[in-house]
Amino acid sequence: MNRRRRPRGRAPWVLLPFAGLGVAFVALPLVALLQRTPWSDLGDLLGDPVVTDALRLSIVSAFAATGISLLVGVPLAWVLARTTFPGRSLVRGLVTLPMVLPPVVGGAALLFAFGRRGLLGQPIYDGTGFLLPFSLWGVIAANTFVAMPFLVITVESGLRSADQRYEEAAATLGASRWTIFRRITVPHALPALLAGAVLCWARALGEFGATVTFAGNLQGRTQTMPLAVFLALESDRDAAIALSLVLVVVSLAVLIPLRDRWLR
Amino acid sequence: MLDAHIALRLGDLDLDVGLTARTGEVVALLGPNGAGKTTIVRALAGLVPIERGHITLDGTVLDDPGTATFVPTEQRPVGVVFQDHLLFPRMTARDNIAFGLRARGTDRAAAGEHADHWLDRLGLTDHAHDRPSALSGGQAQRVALARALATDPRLLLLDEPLAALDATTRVHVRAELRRHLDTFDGARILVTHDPVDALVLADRLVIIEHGRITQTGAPAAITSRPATRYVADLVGINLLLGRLEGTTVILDGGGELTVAPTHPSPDGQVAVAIRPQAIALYLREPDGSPRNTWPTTVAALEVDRDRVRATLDAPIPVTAEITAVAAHTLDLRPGHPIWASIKAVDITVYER
Repeated sequence: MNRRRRPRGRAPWVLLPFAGLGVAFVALPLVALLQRTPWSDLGDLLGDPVVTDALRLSIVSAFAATGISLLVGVPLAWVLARTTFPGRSLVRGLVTLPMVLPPVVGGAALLFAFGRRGLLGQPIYDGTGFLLPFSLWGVIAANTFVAMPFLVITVESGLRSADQRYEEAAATLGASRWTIFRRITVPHALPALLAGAVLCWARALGEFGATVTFAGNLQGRTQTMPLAVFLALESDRDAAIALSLVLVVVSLAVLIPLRDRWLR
Repeated sequence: MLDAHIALRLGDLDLDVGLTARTGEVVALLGPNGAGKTTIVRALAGLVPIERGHITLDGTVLDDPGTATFVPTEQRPVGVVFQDHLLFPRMTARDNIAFGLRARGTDRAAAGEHADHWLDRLGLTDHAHDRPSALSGGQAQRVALARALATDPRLLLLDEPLAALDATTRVHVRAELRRHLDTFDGARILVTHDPVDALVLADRLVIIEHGRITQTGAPAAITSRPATRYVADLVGINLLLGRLEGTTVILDGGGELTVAPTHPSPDGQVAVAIRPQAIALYLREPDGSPRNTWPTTVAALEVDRDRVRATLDAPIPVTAEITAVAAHTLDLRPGHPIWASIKAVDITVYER
């Protein structure tokens, strides 16, 4: 009887030190970053074309990668969640592979596929002269390759847990499959869709390995924030810190409002 | 007019039933959980294909594996009121009702107007812009009904439409549903496991057990002459099986009963129905005319407000229902000896 009067969610004491350790481990590097920030020079540093170019490229490519992932990933998630076909588990594994694959390997594989001498890249280059690597499109491709799985698995699990009886009810009312998808399935899966998009965007924003391998590190063309930070660490530590700070602020600005609502 | 023979296997369920519903008729499918009632609804709606048989509605074949005909759900003129209603949670009541018309290509304004007409008809105008979560159980049920009827179906299926409601609302909504069902002119099939729903709402009952129809007929015929133990228990009547010889029924479980003269069935195999209220209980052997009087013991007692149901032991296992006052006077307790009696004219004998 007495136990029921206790407020819910009271943690066993033994968990708390570990939870605290976890927070500290994430927070401490951020504090260190703030502590080393050259606040007085910050304005000049952030105005530097290296910084503004990298920020612009990062934002554009992360949003573009998220858009492409939504366009391709949502139908893919639907197929994986709602249909059965031979080799489905193979496809499911394949789709999530970029999550565990070292991004550098992904970048190299992209080169073999879309490079000037690549499997698909060569015929495209020979025919049109278009070259995917070492361009903004290359950055977007690398970002999409690495980030899309986050969207696919989130949306897929959202679709799996959705109550399909609502879709059946819509069918009895005369709704076609496309109408059902548009008016019932997608609205029901909206939380998962947004969560997936946020995760995908965040992953794309921080992409380094595949981008540097596939798209190179050309300021103003393919040099995104993480690449600029890495380069600046060697030459201009203050600029590196300023760039890092911008990334942290941008990421937090997106994650804090969304974390409680969509990423549970 | 619905004419269907539905046969399919689904997990443990082996379903094989013939089903008809005339235009304007309300047919209730009554049976225990897992008997296959909901699967029948799903087959009629096209949500699950049948393996054998056919489904024909107003002369149009909707499903016939023999000729590889299968009309998909969205093209069937079939409306469904689902258990839990399944109103779309992100749409208002009005949008829920308009959904079917919109999906079938009616433009927004006309569909909305039609929905308003339905809202008015079911007394829901004040709730037009409410989300389903803001509606009471009875209101949600009416929206579900309006949504199913708004597309003008030829067959209306109601799957446990009252199961989601609490006991008090249920009585009210049941009466209301009867009224609204009367205004719909297509065939109606109602699935329920509650005999009261079936008796109040249906013109004809179809009893389904283990994927088979065990009895069908008008409510009165089924309650007075249950064919199976399930139906008998459901309507609270004693069912005994035996062999008729002249005016005596020799019961399969032992014991015999004298009955009024009746037409014997060819093989003499009969069912005997006895209303619990027709069985009288005495402390001592009674005098008088009852032909069937026997000593027994009380096996169990069940009190239901001012009524007491006493289950009696061998030789004839039946349940008697008496008033609480009488039970008190008799000092009924499990294990006590008692005399039971029933008049021959109170015993219904029929072929099984």
